[in-house]
Amino acid sequence: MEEKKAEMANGRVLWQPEDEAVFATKPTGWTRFWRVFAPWQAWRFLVINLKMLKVIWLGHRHG
Amino acid sequence: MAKVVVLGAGVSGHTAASFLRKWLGDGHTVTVVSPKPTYNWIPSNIWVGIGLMKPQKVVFELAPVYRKAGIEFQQAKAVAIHPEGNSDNAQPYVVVESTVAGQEGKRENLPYDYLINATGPKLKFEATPGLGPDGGHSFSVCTEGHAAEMSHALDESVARMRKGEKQRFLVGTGHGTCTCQGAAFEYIVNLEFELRKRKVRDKAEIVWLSNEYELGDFGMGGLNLKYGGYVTPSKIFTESLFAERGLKWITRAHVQEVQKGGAYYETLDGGQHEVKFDLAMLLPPFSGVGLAAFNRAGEDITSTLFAPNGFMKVDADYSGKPYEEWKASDWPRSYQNPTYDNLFAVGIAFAPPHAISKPRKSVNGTPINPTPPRTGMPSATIGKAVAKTIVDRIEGKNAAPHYASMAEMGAACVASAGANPFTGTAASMVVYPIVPDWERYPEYGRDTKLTYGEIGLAGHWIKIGLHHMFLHKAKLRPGWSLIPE
Repeated sequence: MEEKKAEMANGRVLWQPEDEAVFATKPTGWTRFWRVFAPWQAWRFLVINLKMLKVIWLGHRHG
Repeated sequence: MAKVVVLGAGVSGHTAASFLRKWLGDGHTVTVVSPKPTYNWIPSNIWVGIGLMKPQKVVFELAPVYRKAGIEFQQAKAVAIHPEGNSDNAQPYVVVESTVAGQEGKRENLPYDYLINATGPKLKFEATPGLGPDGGHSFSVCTEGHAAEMSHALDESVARMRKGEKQRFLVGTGHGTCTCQGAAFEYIVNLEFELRKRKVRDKAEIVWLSNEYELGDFGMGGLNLKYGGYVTPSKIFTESLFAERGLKWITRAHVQEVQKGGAYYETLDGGQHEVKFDLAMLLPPFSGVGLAAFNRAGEDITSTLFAPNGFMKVDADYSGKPYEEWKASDWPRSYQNPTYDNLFAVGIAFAPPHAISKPRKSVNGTPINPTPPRTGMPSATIGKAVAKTIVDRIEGKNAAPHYASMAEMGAACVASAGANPFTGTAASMVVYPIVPDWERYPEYGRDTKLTYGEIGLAGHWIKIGLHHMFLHKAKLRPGWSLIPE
């Protein structure tokens, strides 16, 4: 506290961790499971690649 | 016979030079000038900085690759452009200065018919006192060397934690006008994953410090994704990931000074703060590399060719209009200099017309907003489009320039969030277009059918695939030109 007072006197406020995370959404255990469940992720691998290829194609059509 | 000179061998310059060589006949020369003898696949520097990869895995020698491909290579830095030649000869040329050991400072005039400026950024650590690894008190992952230094410092911190000491890590941006928040984001989540892997996570406090207005801005003003029946801003997803990983965050911050063990920063509300740290990875702001330009009479025309930040002017709207009047059409399409039509700037070297994120100043007048990212996929796409334009000109085709506007192209980005083939994750993001087009997409500025993101193991697999695929492409190995940018 003394350190903080001294800093404030210098016009500097020592940063203290706030609990911002309380206001953030957090994934459930079920969500975290699907994120690393290999069979499901193999499917997502295909889907994400197709989505990326579509955007890559759109970016190249003017070139 | 035409001479094409490419200044820089980063993603955009290397892509442009490779395609020029592929498409141009043998009678024409393609010369690459780069101050470093190596190519660095920068996206994987993150893993070097964590200690998962050796620096040699993300670099390779350019000279043998170029020799095999028929591209001339000069290890030198560009110093000045003479787009009208000089009083003796109207042939345009660029002055380069050798960086080869034993020949440092030796200058040479390199004539050109077409010049591509792909010099990338100057890492402007000096903008913030005490920032950076060279005489400062923080680390960076901007180069493979910086990343290796960061990795050694991390090992020392881990050793302390194993002895029971607590450590606070500070990760983010070291100035109010930084870009590349995505790289810092990758670093912080990989750091957290690695500390868990090394079983010292309980001894670490990890803090994010950035110039973003909200988490998830990434210099693109954030993005909106369709998810679970809502169109949700990237802030929600990023905060969620940070909360899940126990990361704390400070945003809207301009770092004023970094001292040993502490960073002083100003926030948008004018507040003056300090955050203590044991180890900091703070990215620097960028500027142009400081090229000068002269006309035929030898008069300085640097301000004609370059914006005040040192980046080269191209076919963009530099009128400085207010945020409310920004349009997608402000962004360049052909990357051709408006004064000299044989001069192009690609990748980070072109001057963006303005930011993408909303510009903001603190109550003290300090600008605190990210500058636009121009790396990776868009850089390569732009390099390829400019190469096509030059090839058309050389072949005498009376065709319009090829276009690659960041307001008309999307970007696929995979941000590593932990490297392990079974438990790792990465955030896979697709954004279309990169620069919001509020006329085409009035509600969100982007196409919410194409703009997309998810986090998972699949993203990590893609990230590993991209590392190998893009190094294969950059080494000009068989089939390289079939790999999309």
